[in-house]
Amino acid sequence: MRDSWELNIAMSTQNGPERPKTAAESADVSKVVADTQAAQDAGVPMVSLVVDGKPVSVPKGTLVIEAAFSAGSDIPYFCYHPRLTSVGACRMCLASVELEMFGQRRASIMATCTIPAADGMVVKTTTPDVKKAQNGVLELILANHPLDCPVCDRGGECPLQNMTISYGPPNTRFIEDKRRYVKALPISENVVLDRERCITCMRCTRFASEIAGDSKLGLINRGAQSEVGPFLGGTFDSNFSGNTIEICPVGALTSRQFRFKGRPWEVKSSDSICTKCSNGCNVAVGHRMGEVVRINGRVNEQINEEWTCDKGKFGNADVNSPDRLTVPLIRDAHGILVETDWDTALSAVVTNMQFVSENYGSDALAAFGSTTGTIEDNILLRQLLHGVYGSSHLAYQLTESPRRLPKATIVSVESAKQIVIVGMDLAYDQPMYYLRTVKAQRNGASVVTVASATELASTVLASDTVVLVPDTLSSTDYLNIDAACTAAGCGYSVLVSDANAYGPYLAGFDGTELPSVDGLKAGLAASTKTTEVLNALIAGSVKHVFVLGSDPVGHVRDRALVEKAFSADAFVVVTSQFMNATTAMASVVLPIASFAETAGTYLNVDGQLQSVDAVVPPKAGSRPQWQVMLELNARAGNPLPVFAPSDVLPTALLPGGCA
Amino acid sequence: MAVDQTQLLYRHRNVPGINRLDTYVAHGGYEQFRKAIAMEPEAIIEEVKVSGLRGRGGAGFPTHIKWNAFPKNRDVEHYFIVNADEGEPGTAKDRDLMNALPHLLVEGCLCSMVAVRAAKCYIYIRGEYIEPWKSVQKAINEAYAAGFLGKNVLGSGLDFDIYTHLGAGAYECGEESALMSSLMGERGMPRLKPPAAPLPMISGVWKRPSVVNNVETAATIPAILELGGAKYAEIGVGSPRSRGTKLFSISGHVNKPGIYEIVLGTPFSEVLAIAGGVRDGHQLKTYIPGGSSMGFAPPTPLDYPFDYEGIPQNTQTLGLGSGGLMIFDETTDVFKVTHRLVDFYHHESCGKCTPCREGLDWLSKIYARIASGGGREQDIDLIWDICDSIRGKSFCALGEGAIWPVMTSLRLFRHEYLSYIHHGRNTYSDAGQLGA
Repeated sequence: MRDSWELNIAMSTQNGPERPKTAAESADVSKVVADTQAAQDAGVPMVSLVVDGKPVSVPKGTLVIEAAFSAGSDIPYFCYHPRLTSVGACRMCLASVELEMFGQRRASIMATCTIPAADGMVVKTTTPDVKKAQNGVLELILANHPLDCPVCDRGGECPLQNMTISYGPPNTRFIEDKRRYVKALPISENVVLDRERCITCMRCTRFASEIAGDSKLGLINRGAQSEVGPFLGGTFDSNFSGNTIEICPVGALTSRQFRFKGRPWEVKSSDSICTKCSNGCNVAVGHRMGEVVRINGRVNEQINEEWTCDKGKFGNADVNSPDRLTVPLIRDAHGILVETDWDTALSAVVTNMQFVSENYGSDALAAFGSTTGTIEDNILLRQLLHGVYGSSHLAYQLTESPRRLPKATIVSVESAKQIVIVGMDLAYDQPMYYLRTVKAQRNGASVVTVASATELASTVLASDTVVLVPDTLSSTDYLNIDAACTAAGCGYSVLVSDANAYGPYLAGFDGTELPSVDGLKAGLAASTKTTEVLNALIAGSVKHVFVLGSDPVGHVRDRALVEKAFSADAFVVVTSQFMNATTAMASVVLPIASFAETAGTYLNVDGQLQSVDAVVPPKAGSRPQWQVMLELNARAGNPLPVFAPSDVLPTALLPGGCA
Repeated sequence: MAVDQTQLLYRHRNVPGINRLDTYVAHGGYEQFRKAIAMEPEAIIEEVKVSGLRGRGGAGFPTHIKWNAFPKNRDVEHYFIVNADEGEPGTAKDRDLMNALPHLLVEGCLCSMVAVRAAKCYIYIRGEYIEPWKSVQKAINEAYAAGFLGKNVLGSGLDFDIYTHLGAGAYECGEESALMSSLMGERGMPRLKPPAAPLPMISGVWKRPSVVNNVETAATIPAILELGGAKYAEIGVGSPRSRGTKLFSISGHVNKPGIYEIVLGTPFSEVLAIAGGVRDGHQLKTYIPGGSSMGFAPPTPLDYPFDYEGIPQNTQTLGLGSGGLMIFDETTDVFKVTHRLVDFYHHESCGKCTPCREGLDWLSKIYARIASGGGREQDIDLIWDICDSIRGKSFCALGEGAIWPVMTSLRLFRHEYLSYIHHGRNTYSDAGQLGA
């Protein structure tokens, strides 16, 4: 028995080819390497050490495990995470570290995630002693870990599974009863906890306290009975709970949405941008046989680092919703919306446009651009309404906020000293701004939330205060905010809520030919076009209004005005994924593709242009908005040589450093 | 010739009413504090340095090194923290000290606070120690009333406050960094130590300079100030690095179990004699020199200096520890004792690191299996391997301390394990005598 154990250790100390890494592990290593490079470029003092015989220079303060990554060595780990504080809990990252202590040099086995690299250190990661220590720890981690990999969601992309293959002893000597708990314990609407699989690495609890800042998960009980969970039987109701699923190094935290929807190796992952809000988080859409099954975070240091909010992670499941519109609708002689085919619907739209422009003039046509669709969609809409028919009634802004890119970018918020949030729930309305606010707070910033613009007047503001304002307030509110902030000399940042709030502006809706982002940096007053179009509808001078993927009836502050306008006798065309307040009043409804099914370019809340490709085919019956607009242009006598959205995007708007 | 057992801490231990302020003052109480408050903090630290005082809590770290690491100003608040979370099995010296001589502790705290420039002191008392807590709190109240605590004490312009804090029943909170976490209302788990984190003397409780000292360490300071460091350093008959006296809780199979103040370096045989020797009609089988984490010592040699250096050199145990000397005679079932200890550490592991949490869980299951007759010969190697995976790999000393009795018992009493494995019982002892 003992002989075979020794043999196992001997076998596992042989250095084979580089072990396969999970996506998360590779991301960790690349972050460390990138950080090291950035620090070196920034002139941070460096220390030199030797890892596995290879000399390496790393910035002062770098952990030994990170130095080893930079040197290309592999050290197994579970609790270490480059974005969380070190805790030294799992003890997997043991290596031999030779350093000078109390005047003498000696090598000892240490947890490398807790030791900062120092000049003259000699680190060895592959000696038999190190392997034996690592194997010992892994055997202990596995002692109570259930062998349910075949039915575990994590199986196939599980760090523990990977490490066990590369490092562990091939068999177990644990013949006792394993710890037993209720297997799948839902701890929130989105997350399921399996405490049997948990290895108490405290990544999730550290995420909750350090990154999400809400401490919604903690450790309960102690010793071998330690378990993670929400406080006192509560629920894990955090807007960032989904991230804990991704950073869990085992399958202890799983997604209720993704559970048993597919094995990781069957799920293809494609890069995309989340459009649930304006932040523009970079995500990886996981899809299996053409169906979106999950959304994971993707690294973009300027926006979401590697996190997602729950709205982005779980909310995008609506692309599979049975409520999605899949058939065009047209209002029949009885005034009821009935299903029709695309040809009939598109003919009806073009025929009406033709009729209206010929009989009432070009300004009897109006349009609402899309603040959630792509810039390309809007360019094609402008081509049709303005280019073909000459209409100048192009509206898009449904809010009353000044149009200006925020002074405070997502990244810059983390180094702010004082942050004042006006009238919004930042964690839900601007999740990535919120995460940076938590970071700033950990660095000592004060964060104040005031309920309204009036309250802001009585808040003490300094010249370097960052004031974050939503785009949903009234024009009077913006005047008050402007007065308060101008007096303090700090300015304020309007944070728009839609994924592409200024897309129509960039598509030339203001009449100028495709403006650049610079105009938005300088700032413009709120657009009056919406009121203009609504009043024209009420007056009866506009006979046809084309609403591109937005919901003016549900979103304009003056609900009475907008309802009156849309009840007026005009032909209303709406493109939409779902029924909403505006489609209910439409003459024709065109079903369009979701964010994952369409390509295009978005400008996020702090002015970053990002392009994406379609990830999955459009849900049967729906079409990408740009294709719908292309077809309408063609039917209106304006065939365009466009084969992809990027063909209509002027080079000035091509995203520079977009992932 | 027997070593002269100088009594420093316990000099007035048996004076009736010594736990009251008036009696304590009548016996020279608070004189050393009056002396200390007139001294420069560096002068006090120098006396402590000369005295050679080492921490009496278990690790034996020189007290003056900790104190010297403090910033030499009062720019931010400093904290002096007393570790009264006495949880080491076999150790009860702090309980006796706090019950019988609470004013000695208060005076020791005051002198130490002067030395480290602290205005606030927290005494972190083990949750089960209700009586000692009452005793210490009463002494603190009396000291406030008498003007030894409060604002502008004795006209010095300095403020002194002492607070007591009862723990919630975790052995781990006796570890200094876990104690600080617990004091701050956090989970009682150990924190990273240098070089991964700053010294507590730079950034401890609430990120302010803090030091954690044992009850006995603090209570020794008045004696050092009274004698002078050099004179104190003359006490001790063993190693030049083990100076002064130390309280020992002697328990188990001796005729007179109890708490004794013993001069460091006194031969072990004399220590045993002070406690009345092994109970009549029995022989020494093994003993644990300083609290269960130190491990089992062989019955020979007997004549070696019982101090910080002498114990590890002569017994291959971890050392003096907290001074919980447990004596076992030949009727002891060492496997059973170890099983009980493993269960204790398993229960008390905080769960932070894998080796301690999982290793002790596994060990306790193996011991239970062997005890119930399901042992296999390979279990002995397995136990040893698990210990090996814990040794030097656990986050704090709890894991290290937990395996030491296991490894030493295996080294000395492997045959008792085999007896359980082969016969389902211990054929080497008359089990049941221990009352386990």
